[in-house]
Amino acid sequence: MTQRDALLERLRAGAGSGDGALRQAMAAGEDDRALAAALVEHVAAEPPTLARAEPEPARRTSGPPVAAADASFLSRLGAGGREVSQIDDLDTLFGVLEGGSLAQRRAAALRIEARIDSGELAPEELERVEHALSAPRDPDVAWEVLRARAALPGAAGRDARNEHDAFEALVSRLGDRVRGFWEEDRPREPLSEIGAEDLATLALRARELPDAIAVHVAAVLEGTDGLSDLGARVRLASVFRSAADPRLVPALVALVTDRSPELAREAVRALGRIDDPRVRPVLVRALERSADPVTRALAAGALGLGGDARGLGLLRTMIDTGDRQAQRAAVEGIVEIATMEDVERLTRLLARADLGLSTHTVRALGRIGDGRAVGPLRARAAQDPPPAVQSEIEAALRSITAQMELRGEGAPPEATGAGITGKKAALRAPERAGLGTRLLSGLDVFFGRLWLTFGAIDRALAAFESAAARRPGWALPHAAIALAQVRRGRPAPALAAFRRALSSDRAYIEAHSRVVRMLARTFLRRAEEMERSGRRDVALGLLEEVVALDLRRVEEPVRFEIARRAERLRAEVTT
Amino acid sequence: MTLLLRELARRALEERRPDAGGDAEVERVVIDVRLGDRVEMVTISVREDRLVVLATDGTAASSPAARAALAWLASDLPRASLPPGPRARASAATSSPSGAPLETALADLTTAVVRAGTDAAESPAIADALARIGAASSSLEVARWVGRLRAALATRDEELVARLLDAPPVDAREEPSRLVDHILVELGRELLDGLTPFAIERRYVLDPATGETLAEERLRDQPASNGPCPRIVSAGLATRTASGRVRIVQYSVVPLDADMLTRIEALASPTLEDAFARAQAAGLHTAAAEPASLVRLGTPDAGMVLDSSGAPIPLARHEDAAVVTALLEALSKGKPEWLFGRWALAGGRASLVPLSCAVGGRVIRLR
Repeated sequence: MTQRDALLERLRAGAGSGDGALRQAMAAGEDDRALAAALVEHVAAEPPTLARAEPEPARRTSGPPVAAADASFLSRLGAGGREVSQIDDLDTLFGVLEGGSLAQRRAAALRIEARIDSGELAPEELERVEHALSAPRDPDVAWEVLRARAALPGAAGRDARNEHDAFEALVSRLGDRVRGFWEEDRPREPLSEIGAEDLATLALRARELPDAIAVHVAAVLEGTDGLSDLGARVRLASVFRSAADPRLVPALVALVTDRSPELAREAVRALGRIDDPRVRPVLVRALERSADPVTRALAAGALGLGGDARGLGLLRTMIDTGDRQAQRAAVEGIVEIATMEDVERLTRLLARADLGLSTHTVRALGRIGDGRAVGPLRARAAQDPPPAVQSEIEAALRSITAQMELRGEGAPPEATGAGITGKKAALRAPERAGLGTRLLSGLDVFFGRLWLTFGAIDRALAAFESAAARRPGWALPHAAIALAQVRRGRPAPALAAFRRALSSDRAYIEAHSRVVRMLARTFLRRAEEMERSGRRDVALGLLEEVVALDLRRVEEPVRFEIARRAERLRAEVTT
Repeated sequence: MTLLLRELARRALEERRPDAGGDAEVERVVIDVRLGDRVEMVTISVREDRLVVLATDGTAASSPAARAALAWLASDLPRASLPPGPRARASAATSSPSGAPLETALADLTTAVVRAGTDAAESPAIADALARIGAASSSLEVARWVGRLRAALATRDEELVARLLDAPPVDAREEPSRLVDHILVELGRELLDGLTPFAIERRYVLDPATGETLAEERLRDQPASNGPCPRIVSAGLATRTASGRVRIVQYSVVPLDADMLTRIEALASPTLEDAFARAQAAGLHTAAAEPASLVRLGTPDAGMVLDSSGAPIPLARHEDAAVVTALLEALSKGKPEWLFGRWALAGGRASLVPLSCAVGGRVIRLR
């Protein structure tokens, strides 16, 4: 140990009255102040050296899907599975565009654009693309969809290109006014002078704005334009929420720690939608340290947009126990990270009159993609809700359908009387089962099995559904539903039930030979069907989902066939 | 001042034990030279038997401050040497309890930290002394120093703690000088910890005439000049202090243009080593200042940012890993031109916190 190391050690551990040798070395006498001054002086006397440069690991830019996780096609897409940019099949791309995570939806739109640009699409395929892109979209993917539409030939593409020309003209006018504002000290901030529609257009196409306008927007957000008040800044941040422009990151990061909670909330919302490495640490800090519960909830949701579900527990608690404002923020936050476990929690909120709460609830149910939500959503649509909610319900149903198809579960159920939409389910939703609940759900399972022995499968299913609704975390009734559906020859709903069972208690399923064998066979058969119909991506997703399980109790031929087919498909779809 | 400095040094030397210096030899001296209203810093060292002179007011050959420092050093070499010492070492460490509140609190803080050790950074005595320092001064320099010290204590960086304690802020009002019809360029802006987290906004303003970087600082609820970042500020009237703080009073703002970008690139240090030497001359070794540097870039290789000579640039991941990733992503989008960053110390090693960069003729703000 060098003398300097010894001094550093003393500084680390503390030096006190018993340090005679140190005092002598420092010529400090008995005065603690002199000793302290001498010690820091000696340590500081060594000049600093340059640190060693370290290579920066590459960042995964496509963004993982939500941590809700299973091993399904969508969950693996871009996160160890295939990249969206490698998919050619249009139906799969449409499905991802409807049902994927934010990063996946954006990537799907850009992939569709690339497919159009390649010139390989037949006229009827282009027609299907045009139809798929014409559906109303959430603003978070609007820019990518606009690009894809502009690539289309014919009238649809021409319309989109005309929109772009109008945008260019708007930018040109605004550029002059921004320059005049700074150079000539004009009394009105230019963004405050343009109409709402034009402002929304600028926000939607923010990534195409010239630097001079982008830095002006940042200056207004930061409050360094000298004119805009808090209200104007909050409104601007709100309009630019879906801008997804990395040039705004420094300004938005500054707003997250602003004294105004309104600014912080809007900044968090906007940051979550930007694919940039600087965003995540800021959101984590906001989640962990913000004093404002709404900002914390929104930060949890914003992290979820990037695939980080660390705030899910907080959001569930806020939904279950928070006040109205916190609950609304939590529902907004949970949209991208809600799992099948949240279906019941969210369907309970569907009937609420609060428009903001309703739209986000519907959106969250759509993002989960669980067929059990279809009934409640259709029931809500039948109650003539406000147009905004109606539109969200339509989008949610499309998203659920797309996800179910990508998981090989087929079309969503039409009926509304089964599962959690049934009368019994509506009456109860215990999170942790008490003795009474366990007894009743056990009776449900008993009667379900009894009905099965008599061949009354529908009645058996109703009993199992009832048990599952009473104890959502109990894997057994979900497994029983899956087996009953297989027995009835309906593999698609069986897949959904198997997944719910795995999500409830994976170890239980893997430990029960009969269940895990039936699960493996069902997934394999469904994958075969998908492959035969040309949906190789979906087929591979199904097989990779089952390969991720402990299959030791599955018969060897089935296990080998799953592995072999998955390997072959993987090789085929990646070449 | 020179005579007074010599006299005080002589007296201090006489008060020390004759062998206090041991076998120590002076390897480098840092000298503050007053030139009218401003104070320039000159660093003189010997590298491979060659004298290296760095001055904050220009190149060594033309710098009046360097000439004054060399004259002072050559006139009468001291008989005994002391370790290279702190630049603005206040009398804090030896001040009596009856001294000014800030000085007393600073001295108490140093004593408390050394007694408790950096491993016990949560000591109530340290917290109390820090609170007293915050209460004793409203200066941004003091607030920033407290913010840095808190961060160093939190990360158990005893080396940085020692540097900060050895060069405490001086709560003295600096007389500003006037800048009239002066062009300045803001290249970076960031929020920094002060008495509370993210309390201070600092804008880094380059003087394209000299290459010097000035800082416009404010508490977040205080006013400062308006304008986006980056920007060219055509200052009708501004004031600056010797320590490099600027206040922009009358001004207009224009966007960066190609001519200015060419000028900025010309001002950039061609190598990291050169930038580091300038930063040291600007006080990096004392930790009293947080100098910023402009470095000309080469093409990144193997995940590392390189200067124009191909030397890898150490980047301060310990302070902001995400911005380092963002920098590399930005550099991948065009021809890298320059990097502007603030020097940060960790464990006695210096690295750059990226603030902005120029790529393919565009300036990208990173923080």
